[in-house]
Amino acid sequence: MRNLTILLLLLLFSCSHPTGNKKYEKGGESINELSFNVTKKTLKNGLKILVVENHKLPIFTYYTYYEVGGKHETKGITGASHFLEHMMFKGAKKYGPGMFDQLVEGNGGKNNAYTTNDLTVYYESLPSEHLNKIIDLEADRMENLSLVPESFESERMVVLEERKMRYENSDRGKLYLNMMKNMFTGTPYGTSVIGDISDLKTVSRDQIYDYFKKFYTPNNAVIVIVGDVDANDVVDEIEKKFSKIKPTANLDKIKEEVLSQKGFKFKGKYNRSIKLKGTSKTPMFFLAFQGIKVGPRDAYTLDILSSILGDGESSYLSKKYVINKKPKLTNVYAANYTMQESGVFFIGGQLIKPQNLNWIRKDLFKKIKKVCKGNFSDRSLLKIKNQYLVQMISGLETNSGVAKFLGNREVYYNDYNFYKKEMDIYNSVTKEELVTACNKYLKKNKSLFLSIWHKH
Amino acid sequence: MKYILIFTILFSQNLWATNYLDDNLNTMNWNGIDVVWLEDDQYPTYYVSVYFHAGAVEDAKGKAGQTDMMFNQLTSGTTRYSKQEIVNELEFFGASYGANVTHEYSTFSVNGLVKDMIPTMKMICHSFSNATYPVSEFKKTKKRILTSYKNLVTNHSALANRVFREVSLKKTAYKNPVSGTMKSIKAIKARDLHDKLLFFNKKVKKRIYIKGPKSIKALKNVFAKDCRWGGADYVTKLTKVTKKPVANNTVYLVPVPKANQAQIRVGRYLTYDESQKEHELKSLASKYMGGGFTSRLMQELRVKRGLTYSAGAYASTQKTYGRSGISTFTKNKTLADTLKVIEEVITKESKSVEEGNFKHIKRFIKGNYLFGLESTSSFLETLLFFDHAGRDYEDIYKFPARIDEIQKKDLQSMIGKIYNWNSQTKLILGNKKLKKQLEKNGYTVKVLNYKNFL
Repeated sequence: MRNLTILLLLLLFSCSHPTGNKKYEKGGESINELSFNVTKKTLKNGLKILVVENHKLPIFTYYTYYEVGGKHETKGITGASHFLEHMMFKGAKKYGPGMFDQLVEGNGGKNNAYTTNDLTVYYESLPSEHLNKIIDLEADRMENLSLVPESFESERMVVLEERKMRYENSDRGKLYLNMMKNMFTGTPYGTSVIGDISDLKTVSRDQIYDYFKKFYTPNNAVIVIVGDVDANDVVDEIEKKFSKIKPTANLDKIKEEVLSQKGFKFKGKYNRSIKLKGTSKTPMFFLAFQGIKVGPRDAYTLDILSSILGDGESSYLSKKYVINKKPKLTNVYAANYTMQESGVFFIGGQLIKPQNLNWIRKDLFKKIKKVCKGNFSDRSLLKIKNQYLVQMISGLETNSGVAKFLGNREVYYNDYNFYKKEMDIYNSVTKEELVTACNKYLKKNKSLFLSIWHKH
Repeated sequence: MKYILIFTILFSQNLWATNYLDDNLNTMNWNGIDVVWLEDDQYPTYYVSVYFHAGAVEDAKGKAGQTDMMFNQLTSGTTRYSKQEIVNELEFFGASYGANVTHEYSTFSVNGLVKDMIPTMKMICHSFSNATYPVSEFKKTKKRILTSYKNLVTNHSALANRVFREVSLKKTAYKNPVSGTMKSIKAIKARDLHDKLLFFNKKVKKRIYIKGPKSIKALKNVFAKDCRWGGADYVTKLTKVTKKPVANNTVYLVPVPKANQAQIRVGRYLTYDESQKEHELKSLASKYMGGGFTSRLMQELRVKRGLTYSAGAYASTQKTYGRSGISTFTKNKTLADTLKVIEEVITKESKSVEEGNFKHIKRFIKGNYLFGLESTSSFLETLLFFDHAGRDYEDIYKFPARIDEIQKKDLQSMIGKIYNWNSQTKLILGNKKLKKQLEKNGYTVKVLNYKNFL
């Protein structure tokens, strides 16, 4: 990530939910009357555009999703997507070095970006009068990014410092990095999004440029604009600036070649413990399970299961380990991280006492076994649906929240409207399905137990 | 909607509506408590923030963290319900709730769906009226807090902030972290929390801020009957910070194990007098130095030299004091270079701000100020703080015009005043070997043990 936003996990997506402005009902019900007035157009070169007019305030937010991320990186160029994310602000043909930030911030706006295993996303928010300037800036850097050698080298140093900050100097970061590496060994998700140190030190400007030319093209991008704009004018302006940019020929084939080299089938060594040396005075752990990609019904079921297990103080595991009579953990949480091709379901926590971890691993499996037998209330299922509704609505107070909400669905489901089906699926998930999913996915032989503290 | 017009005014910078906010925000008095209501029916959600005119400076001697703990353990048990029952109920409604305790004041905020507003707020109020702080829960909480402090060493940035606060605010009433220290947490008894809650319930002056549709008016009865709050008039007597910080060339080094980066904190406290005036100018100075990708520090440290990933500057004020400073990090071997660049930037900009940069920062700060108020809950929080600090709401919509009035020499002068290198407390948290590098570069180094600040 370019600055202080999320690089580590894009969990929001797997636990985010749609919005509405008409009828909201209690958990278990649906929000059928939710609707956004979206203008959608796909240009001849493949560029997708979504525009939502919101005239509440004279401002807008502009998101660009590039469907390229850590999984597309091959040997020797791990971290390329993220490195490129940094370089995208370093100048292009028309708007040279430093001009992007100068123009955005100098017009009262703000901008940032983030990279995940699947995507790289850029966003800007400005007063509406500057929309055409942003369209021009974005078109310029998509078509003619410069990658000036001097900037490239100084940014290499910046990325290395970011890596240290997020992972090398953070026990939690190390745990996460190692979970992904070991869970997805031998698959495109087994590399780190920020990149291996050796690759970051050696990757060349030409390698990054090749990567850019291949993946930063209109047929690999989705633009979402929300705010005080005229949708038709916006589409016209984007067409004017972007339609001349050539798409990558055979993009799907190129992607397929990259991804199929390894494939996404789990092929690591599971049912084992991994001990990491850290600085924490009490042990921190992840119990991770082979998960599932975004989309299938089981993915939604696992979202709910993760919330039942570890979302909030009243969650199942919190009651067993944190707010019970004799607490063993300072905190516990669970997450279902679904990506485009695969996923990981994990439980995290930290021990109160500096002690051996074997017992917690064993005990977690005992607790999970109980949940897999249906040892949780119907009320907790209803609670999760209520919580999802609140989370969903809370994220929509800003243009940026709406743009991200719609953009994620367009990219992941090829349908910005998918939130309606999504909420229906969540609301229709039954206890029986949760039990079935629990037994299917939370298996010891498909798990990894990772821990870190200063005594390892 | 009223809220929209506020923004229209802000963006168009028209000052014709001097009394605009007074006309459009709803103010009420519920049982002796002032209420500020921002009507917002765009989404079926509500937001309530209760302001208490007392903060962590009210903590008993040797019991820093008492107020913070009192609020944060409010749901640990009541005369009727256990902790599990309370959190079960509140989380069932999907409600988010929590306290924010500062030295000067405290707030307790709740948000959720309007349809569940009454039962949620009834449970919150029940907790305020009937919290018993059961000893068993209290002991568990203490244990968790103490463990989290021990583990702070794994978060170098948070640890640097904590140590820096105490070192830079030494000899003021505000040096203790509001969440307390291991020593002070150990000294707090469950009874202390109960006593503190009684004091806040009965004596401390309150103000309520609400965002939501008309139906929020039903909360009036909940506050009166369930919270049992009425007009109270106790206001914390705050100690004004009057003595200016002493200049020195000492660098405090806080060694931590296995650090491959050096955390850098440079800053000072602002006196009462400094905190009371020139709010817009201080904001401009801090944004100019370290408020975005185009700020001076980001340009010089990151863009030009690749010395760091991020660098920020701040100048924030409370009612009786303020803090200004710079925060960044770098790799071990470039620590001295980074400090030198920071010093050079401060020195240069306090003497000469380039015209282009000056115009740029003015446009930047005006736009960003507004985005910070885009959500109605953020807007309410701003109003709450303005009320606390005794500032007029007018300041909000006059902000752009006041920024426009600032001259270049004013900005240079403010940078020199608040970031003057020689009057800053300088703290480095990182590898113990950094001592040699610092000494070699002419700094007097004083080593501090991080454990003394937990």
